Amino acid sequence: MTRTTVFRMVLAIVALPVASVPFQAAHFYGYNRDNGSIVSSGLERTYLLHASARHDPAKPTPLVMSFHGAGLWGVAQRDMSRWDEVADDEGFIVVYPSAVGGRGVRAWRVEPGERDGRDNRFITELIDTLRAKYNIDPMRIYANGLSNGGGMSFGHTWPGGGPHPA
Amino acid sequence: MLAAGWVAGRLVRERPLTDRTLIMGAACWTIAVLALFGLLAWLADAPHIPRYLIMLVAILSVPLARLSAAPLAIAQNRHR
Repeated sequence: MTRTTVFRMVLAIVALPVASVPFQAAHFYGYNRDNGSIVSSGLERTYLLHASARHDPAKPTPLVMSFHGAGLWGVAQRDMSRWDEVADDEGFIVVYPSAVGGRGVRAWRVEPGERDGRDNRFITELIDTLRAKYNIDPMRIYANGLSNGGGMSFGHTWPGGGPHPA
Repeated sequence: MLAAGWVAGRLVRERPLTDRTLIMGAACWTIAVLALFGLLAWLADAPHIPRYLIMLVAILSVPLARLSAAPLAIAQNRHR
């Protein structure tokens, strides 16, 4: 074995873990992408939507909104809450909206006056968007969440029988 | 990693170690990194901790350049 071959072998062995980093990063960012977006308050806001194949477009379908905790995102909330599995069993629609970061961690800001209520506006507009696209039962829109997302589901009230914290 | 590459080049050129030892050393380092990665990934199994960051932590935690440079330092002092 020549020294060049040895050098190449050593580099190849050592490079194995290093070379896996960009692949893992690409997989991470590919896996954690949302699948829908709307423009709200001048910002592109994203969400992850799961419309169960069992839902009947002819019948009004319940909508479950599941809010992620601070620092998390839609896919993380889906994987932790596993609402998709329930939706597939029961035939309803689930949406996991994503908060925005900006200055500080990505979190829901629902206190009065926080960022001009743009998170509340986003959720209202998201519901309108989904209602225009799917046959959603307006009396069966539910909200739940983890931690800061739980606060979002309780802190936001919709007039006229909107989502109910669940 | 750049330092490790430079050290590897000198190790190959100056031959303080046999070919087999060099390859075994590299393999041991990789196995140690992968084992540490597995342990950390198991301990920190949370969606907000990306696996690629855990791999970077594992790579930086297992010394490579310093250990690889030791035979060069010994060889240099031996010829003084």
